[in-house]
Amino acid sequence: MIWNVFYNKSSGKISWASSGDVNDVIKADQKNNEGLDYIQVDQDDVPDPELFYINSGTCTAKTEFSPSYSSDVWELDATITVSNLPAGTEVFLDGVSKGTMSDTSLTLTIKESGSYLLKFEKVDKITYTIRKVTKKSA
Amino acid sequence: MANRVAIGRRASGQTDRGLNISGLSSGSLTNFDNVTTPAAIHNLDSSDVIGGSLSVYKFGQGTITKPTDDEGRLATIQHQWASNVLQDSDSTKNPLFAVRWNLAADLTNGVATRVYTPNYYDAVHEEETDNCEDEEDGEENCETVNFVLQEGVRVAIRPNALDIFNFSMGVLNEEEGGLTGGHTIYYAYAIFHQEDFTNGAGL
Repeated sequence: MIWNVFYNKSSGKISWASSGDVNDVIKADQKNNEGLDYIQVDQDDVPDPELFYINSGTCTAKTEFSPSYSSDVWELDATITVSNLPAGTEVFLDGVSKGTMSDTSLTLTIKESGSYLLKFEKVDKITYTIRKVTKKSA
Repeated sequence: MANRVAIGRRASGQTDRGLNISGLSSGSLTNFDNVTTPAAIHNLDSSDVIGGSLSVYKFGQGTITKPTDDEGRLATIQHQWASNVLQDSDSTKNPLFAVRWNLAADLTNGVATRVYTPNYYDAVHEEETDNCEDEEDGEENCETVNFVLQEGVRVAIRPNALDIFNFSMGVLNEEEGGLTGGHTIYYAYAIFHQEDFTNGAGL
C-alpha cells in the first residue's frame, strides 16, 4: 500500500500518514506551517509513528529499549543506576525532560518518596515508560 | 443526438463511474439532457442512493502522532469530491463522510477491534499542593496546580478535503510543563458520493 507520510526531517519523527491523497497545497502547507517534509512509502503496515521513523529517506522500524536497573526496589535515598541505554536517549520524569544522555548509563538518586513515571525516548527506539513507587528504606 | 445512456465513465475528463440514464431536460416533456453534461438531470444515477444504500467515493486510513500542545495535530486528506463529483472545484457543498478512530491499545495484529466516532474533550483539574499556610481565620490556604486534560479526535469536512485533528495531548502540568499520557491515533475514513446531510458531523 502507498502511504503519504509527513515527518520532521531533522529528527526523522513521523507526524502523520495517510493512504488518502495529498496534493501540492497540502505538502506546501505542512512544510511552511509545520516544518514537515513529505515522503511516499510503499509498505503493508501503517507507518505508525510509535513503531517507524524516517531514516535517510526510508521508513525504518524502531527497535526496543532494553534498560538494566541496578535494583528493582527504589528506596528513599538510594542510588539507582540504569545501564544499557543508547547515547542520545532523552530522559523524562513525570513528563518533564531531564536532558539527553551523552553516554549509556543513567544515575538516579531518590530524594523524595512518591510515584514516578520514567520515560526514555529516542527516534530509532520504541518509547519506553515505567512507573516506580519509592519505598522508605528499611 | 444526445447521449442518453452512459456506462462507466460518464465523459472523458470525469472520474465518476457507474450507470447513468438521462432524464428530461428542465421544463421539457420531450427533450432529454445529454447524459455526459455535468449539470444534466438523470433518470438513473447509480452513484445515488439506491435502496437506501450509500456509495463510497473514496476511502483510506492512516495515523497521527500525539500532539505536543493543546493545538492538536492535523492531517489533511485531499478527496477532490467537489471537483470530481460535482465538477465544480469552487462549490461550497460538502460530501457525506464517516471517520472512525482508535488507539494503539485497540489494535490487535494491526486491526482495530474497537473504534470511536470523532469526539474529544478538554478539562482543567485543580489540585492542592502540600505548600499550605494557615490563615488568620484558622483556615488553611494551599497553593494549587492546574492540570489540563485533552483527549480525542475532531474532524472537519470541506468540499475537496477532509481535516482530522488528533487532540490526544494527555495531561499537561501547567506549572512544570510536563506532558504525560498523550496518544497516537489511528483513523479510517470513507467519503461518499452523496452530499452531506449531517451538517458536518458525518456518519
